[in-house]
Amino acid sequence: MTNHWIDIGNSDVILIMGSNAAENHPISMRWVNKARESGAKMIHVDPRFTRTSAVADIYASLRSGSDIAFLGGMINYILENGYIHEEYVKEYTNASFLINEDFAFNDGLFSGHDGDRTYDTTTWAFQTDADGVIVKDKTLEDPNCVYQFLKTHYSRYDLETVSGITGTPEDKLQEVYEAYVGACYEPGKAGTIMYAMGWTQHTVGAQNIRAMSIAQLLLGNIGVSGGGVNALRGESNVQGSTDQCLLYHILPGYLKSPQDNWTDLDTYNESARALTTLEPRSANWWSHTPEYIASFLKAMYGTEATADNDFAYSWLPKRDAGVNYAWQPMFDAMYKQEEGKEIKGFFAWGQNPACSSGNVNKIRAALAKLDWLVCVNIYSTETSEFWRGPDMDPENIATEVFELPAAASFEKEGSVTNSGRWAQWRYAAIDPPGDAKPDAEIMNDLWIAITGLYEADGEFPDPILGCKWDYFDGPDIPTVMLAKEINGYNLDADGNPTGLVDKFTLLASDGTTSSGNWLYCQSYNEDGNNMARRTVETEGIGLNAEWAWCWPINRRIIYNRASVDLLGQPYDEDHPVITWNGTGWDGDVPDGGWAPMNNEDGTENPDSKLPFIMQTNGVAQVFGNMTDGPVPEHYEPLESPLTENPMTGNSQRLNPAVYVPPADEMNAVATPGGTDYPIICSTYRVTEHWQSGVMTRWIPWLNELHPDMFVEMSEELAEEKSITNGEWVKVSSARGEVRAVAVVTKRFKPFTIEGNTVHQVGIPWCYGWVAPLMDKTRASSANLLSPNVGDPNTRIPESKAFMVNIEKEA
Amino acid sequence: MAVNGKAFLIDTTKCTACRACQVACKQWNELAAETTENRGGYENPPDFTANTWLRVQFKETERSDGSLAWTFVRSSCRHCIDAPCKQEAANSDSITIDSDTGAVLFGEGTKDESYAAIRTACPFDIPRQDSEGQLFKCRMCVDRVDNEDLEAAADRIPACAKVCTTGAITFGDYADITAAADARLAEVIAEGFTNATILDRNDVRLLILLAEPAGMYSLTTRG
Repeated sequence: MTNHWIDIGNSDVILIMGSNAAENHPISMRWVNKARESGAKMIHVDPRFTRTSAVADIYASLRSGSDIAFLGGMINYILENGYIHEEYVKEYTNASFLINEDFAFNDGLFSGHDGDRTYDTTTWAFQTDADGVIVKDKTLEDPNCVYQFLKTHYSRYDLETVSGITGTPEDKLQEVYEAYVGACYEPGKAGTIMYAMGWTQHTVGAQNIRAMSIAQLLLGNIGVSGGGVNALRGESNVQGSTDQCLLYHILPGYLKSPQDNWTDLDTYNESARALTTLEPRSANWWSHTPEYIASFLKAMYGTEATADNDFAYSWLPKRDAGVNYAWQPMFDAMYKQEEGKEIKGFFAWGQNPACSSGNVNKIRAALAKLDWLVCVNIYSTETSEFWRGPDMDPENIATEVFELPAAASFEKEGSVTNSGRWAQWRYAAIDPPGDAKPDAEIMNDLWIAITGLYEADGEFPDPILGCKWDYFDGPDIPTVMLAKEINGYNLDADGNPTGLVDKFTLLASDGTTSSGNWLYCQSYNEDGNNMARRTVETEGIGLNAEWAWCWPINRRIIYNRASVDLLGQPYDEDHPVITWNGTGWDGDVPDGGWAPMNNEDGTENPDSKLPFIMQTNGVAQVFGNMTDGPVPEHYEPLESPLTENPMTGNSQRLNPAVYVPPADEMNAVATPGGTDYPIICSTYRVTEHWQSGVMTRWIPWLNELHPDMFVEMSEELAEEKSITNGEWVKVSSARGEVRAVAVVTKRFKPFTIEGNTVHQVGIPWCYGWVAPLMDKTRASSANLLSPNVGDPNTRIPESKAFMVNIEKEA
Repeated sequence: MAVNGKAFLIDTTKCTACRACQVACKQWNELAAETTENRGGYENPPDFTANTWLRVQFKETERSDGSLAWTFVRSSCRHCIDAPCKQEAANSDSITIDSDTGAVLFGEGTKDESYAAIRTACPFDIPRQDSEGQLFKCRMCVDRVDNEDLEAAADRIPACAKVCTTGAITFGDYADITAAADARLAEVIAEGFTNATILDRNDVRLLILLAEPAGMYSLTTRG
């Protein structure tokens, strides 16, 4: 989230789209209700009428996979009617930038496409003057400026076109656009978006979010209280694990992970991020990368890391340049491997890929190619038991499986970072049962065993034996030692800690500081464990600056310097995030303490900095580089009821940069517009079960509430298929089939798409064949059906839009 | 005569049917789970039992303008101020009224009462019998409300109110709750819900506020 949960209560209008917040983030509705007490309307846009829709002021349905069309229509509505926040758009976004004249968009393709699945983004650059500074037209009238391109591009998303793609009636589109934009386009008003996996799990997932980001920027809604772009994270600590580098392409704090052609630290620093910018008044915060990576390496390797050896940069594992190591390619590689073994072993740590990933039949087949599999969890899972899952023959599976019992969240001490970036310290309530241990202890046991092996006869032992690992013999409990390491230490000439670093602006590139994650520097400093603070704010806009701690440096609303005008005065006087008092800033921690953009006499302040400090150019990008285009364009899902893309005809049906899985017997795909699988399907969660159900299927009180796998469908589809409410049916896709109870409901309605009736159904993914308290025949896993194609930027699987068929059970 | 004791407000306009209340009821009162099956919807268990004292009841209705309503009501014993079940009881100590809260409490003595008579007397069809013959229903968590071991006042409320995620269930002194209910009703009417009501406003300690006509909710009403 750019903002945080409590701040939702400050919104003037709330759009929930790509999310079923009431069911999957129940507590969020407390803050939605608070905003409504002040007159805010809540709008829910979703293919299915859910428990969120039930409490919405306006509900609109749309076909799964058509969000960019819906949002493109909203952008068009904003631009056509001039509902932009003019000063914000001109001063704080790149709408005024002139685009390279070679840039083009034709037939669904941006310039630079290689004809296969990759873009060369050279032509997407901006025009520069003789000094290399980007040419701008702050009147926004130059035909080459971003603003004019957006106007042209999104003029194609008129109500009739959008309605044909989304299935949302034109008058309902108009109602949503008017209600949302109308309530928040004026300076001082704020609209917020709450989204989740309903936007991300598509082949256009990242561009879905970008589309809304563009709308929010045009409306001046980012950086302000009650606004922002707010991802409702799917697990209590998934924000924290992402911050600490859960993903392959990053190190802690979103530093880029090194690749093999970045051979030394200087090359890393020059290649990973733009260290310099020619743009005047751009802070370009990533220029501090050298301080952060050096401090990270000091945390990793301690006294072994010196200026003379590049702080042991060479010891960090390197990615092969150009190779993608995301979830889907990893399982593709695991599945395809033969003797010789590219991937011998796998740790499924607090994860259940054989139930939660797309196309789990393939995941299971891939796990069978491993020598060993370690599952760390509080219960057995479909992953630890994959060898006796559907269609598996244990006699022919050589994979050795180890199950390590883990402590549950309430049995261990540590921090949990919520969607609003608040790191909140928690204590252990009870001891773990039996041999179960906190994760850190399990890792330490492994560490001791692995270093022992390396000491005996390990190959290239230096990076392992040179690692700093003293968290289990320090003065504090291990998680406190780790939290301090993550914060970082000031170091003396011998590399010994002299105290905790106060905040990340004090980190150095010369080896005099360490920090396991620069973004968390200040979380545990000489003031103490700031994450354990528990002071509730009694007045103000709910920033709660002394409740726990949030990154970066306790800034509760990021990009908050865009919440004020050029003189530093808040656009919204009732909800000021920060205010310039003549000598400094009151309120939240500002995005840099520089004085306002203009002097009091209205002249430009040359010493100020632009508000979007993490962007190289200092302003927010309403046009910018992503793998699959500088702005969003509607493409059909991999599996779709349409043979053509209504926006562009035959030329580009699927996102032209999407990762298409290798053709093998496990990657079957339904024919677009085909008759074998004519029904759209989404997977989703329910309030009563958690994720793949690993934790909740063991709790009878929860099974009582949602006991059986089910499929929700419209009354119209049920009638067509002669299906009665409550009967068991078969749902099948090109990849598998599941049994489910038919829930026939008014909450799904058939769509009219390009003039034809299209049905959509939905299934929860909280069930699986390891169901000790359930009847296995009633607990099929939804991901037997979903594909493993993914977004080109993130590789998240497209489990929100794929094609199925439904039949009565024979 | 002024009514003392405690009351609930169930504000259905804020309820999202997360059913935390339903689970918390079972957890605090240590009630066994039912073996259920999906009958073509979300609502489960299908009925009150000796082990199910609180249920969230769901109903889908299309309004006359074609829009859809999916309503949720947290249902349980209403703790009638003048309880018909108590009047029906043959023995004075089988059904009692808690002096602090006004909660209607079923004791072991209900084994000796006529199940049919007590159940029929309830305008809301709430009491249920276990295999030993004893009758059960919501106890207003009097062992929380009157529990001096619970240090924080915020904990001395029924389990369902404690866990409510959205503020749909509030609990407090009868006078405060009825005042809050009336104020909220006025707000809801002002928002355009001209049919909004508080069910059995003067007769029960579980005040249910509805925004739409009562027929659009799955519940049993008095008379």
